[in-house]
Amino acid sequence: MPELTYLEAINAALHDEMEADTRVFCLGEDVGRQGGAFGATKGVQQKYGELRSIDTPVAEAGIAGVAIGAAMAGQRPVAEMQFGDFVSIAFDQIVTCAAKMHYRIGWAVPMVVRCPNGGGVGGGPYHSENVEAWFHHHAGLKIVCPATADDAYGLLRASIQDPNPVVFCEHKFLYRREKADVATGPDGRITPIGKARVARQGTDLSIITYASTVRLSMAVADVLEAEGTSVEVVDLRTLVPLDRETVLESVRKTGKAMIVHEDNLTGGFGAEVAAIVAQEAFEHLDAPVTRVAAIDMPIPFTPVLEREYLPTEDDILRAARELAAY
Amino acid sequence: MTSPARKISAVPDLPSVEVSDDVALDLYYWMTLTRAVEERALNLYRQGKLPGSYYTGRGQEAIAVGIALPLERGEDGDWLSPWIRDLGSYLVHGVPVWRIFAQFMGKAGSTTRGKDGNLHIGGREWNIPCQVSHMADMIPLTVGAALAYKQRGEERVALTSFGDAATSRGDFHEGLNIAAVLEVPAVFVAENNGWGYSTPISKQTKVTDLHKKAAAYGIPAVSVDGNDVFAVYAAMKASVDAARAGGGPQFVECKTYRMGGHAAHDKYESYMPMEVLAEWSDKDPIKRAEAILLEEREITEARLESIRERVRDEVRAAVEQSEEDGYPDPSEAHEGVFADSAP
Repeated sequence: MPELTYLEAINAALHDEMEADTRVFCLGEDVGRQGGAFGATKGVQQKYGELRSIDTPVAEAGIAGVAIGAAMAGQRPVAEMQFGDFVSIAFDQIVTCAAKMHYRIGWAVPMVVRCPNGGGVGGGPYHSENVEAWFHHHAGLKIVCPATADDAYGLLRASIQDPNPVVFCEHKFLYRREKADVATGPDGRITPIGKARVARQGTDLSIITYASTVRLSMAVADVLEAEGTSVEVVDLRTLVPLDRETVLESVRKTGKAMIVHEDNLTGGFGAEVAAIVAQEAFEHLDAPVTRVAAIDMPIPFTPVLEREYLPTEDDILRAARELAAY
Repeated sequence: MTSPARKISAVPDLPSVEVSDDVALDLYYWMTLTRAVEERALNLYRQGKLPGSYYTGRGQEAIAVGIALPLERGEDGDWLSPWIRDLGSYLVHGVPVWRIFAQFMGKAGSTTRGKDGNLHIGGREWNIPCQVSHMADMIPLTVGAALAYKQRGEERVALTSFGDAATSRGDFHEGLNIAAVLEVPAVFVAENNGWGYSTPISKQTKVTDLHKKAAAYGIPAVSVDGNDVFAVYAAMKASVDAARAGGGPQFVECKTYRMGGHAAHDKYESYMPMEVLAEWSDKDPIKRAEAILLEEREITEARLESIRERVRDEVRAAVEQSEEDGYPDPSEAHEGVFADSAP
């Protein structure tokens, strides 16, 4: 098995799905000849030609709408938003057309919208947004947020094979930092959508997290282990559908729940998880449900300011110590 | 007989299209059916039998019918995404009349099984996607369907219609621009009826000849008298043929007038100039088609009456069937948010 970065894993998943299914194609700004702003679609146009790797005009709503129409007409489009932030322009198409078409007439819309997500890369207010919470309120969309290179591969393949519209939030900070030996090719890894992963077993408290904050939470668990606190880390992998059972099973075991994400606190996905835990596992809780997330503000550019915004390993550690001591 | 060239105003040369008597009578039948369905539905609305509001395309039947008849029907046929004024397009493209009444009534036989109403009609079996309320959203979708046909090398086209107000929205511009750049077999029909709800076109755009907008994207465009069904059909046939033959996207503007309010609840008398309305009433597309059929094509009045008779019977039977139809089970509200499979 080759060792791939998270970004190479995405590229490999695209190549393998395009090889396996002639209906799959990529479209977006600079995805063709250039292979995308980050290189996620590198080599695709060279191998599969211009009709399956389409450089589009700068028109995110148009890109999303074209993908929806092509999906309905039998193709399997993978649309790239150059930065997840720009999906704001495509929001209407995704929630108005993609999310409701099957409900209204039973006509499936099998498409993926790839959103390079998140901060920590000096992107500033318009190249750093976490967009998952923009969509999870809206019924009819699946939301996938991989944390590791092998999930980036396995979840992207599963998303392309899924008969529904999928908002695929790939984290830019992880692109070159996460690496794994990934099983690729025709028999490559497929990670089922809707199954969380217990990234680390523990008994004293549960950290429920996804995407970029999984690695931070794992590091915190190492520190706390040395202090005698056993932390379980649950990587949600997909927000919709949510694997409630794995979350609840973990919390019922540890009695303490902390939800961590990079996205803003208010109205973030953590609020939903907190509500579920409070309602479904109340009698098992030994402490209030805790959340660690970004501050409610735009994401500032310069690193000293951006660090104020982003939840850090220290923030998680401090909160986890308090929760453990409760 | 060739459709009279004078009916096609402006713009580049369209190949002349023969409109045979059979096609002419077909067009007449579909227009008559469209109006009969709408008149009956309006009565049902006034009797309180239709939930929500009611939208008609009265006076725009020539466009609704003329744009759809040149298309291939069926699941493997051409994609057709009509807008709210084009009930006739749905009929021509294969949706049974009774299911349209069931749709208005929110019955189980509705094409959306009661999940959506009015002209939000669709289904894979007719290759009609279900339009949304947001103006111009269906334009990029139509470009996407056309792209799929091009990618697979199929000789199919994708067509969508929209009103003048939709040309103000971003999706109109993004959709047309992408269609042109990708050279896909999409056909755009702009129905210029002069009004977006209560806002006249003069407040909607400075470019009130909508076909001129297509030039901005490098898309060939024509403008036709939208109340002349033969002119509409001829222009559409030529445009659909051109798109199918690999000529890239095509644009047809149909000039017409909205013969009433935005919807049945709209008190349009307060803002529409009645004298203009009266003027356009004289240009009624069905009356004009009848005159051409009787005088220029020498079709007998008896033959037209037999068509009208057939339409009355069909509408009566369709209303009966939809009234006998049940409502969906409440449990169906919970079904279908996600698909289990896609063909």
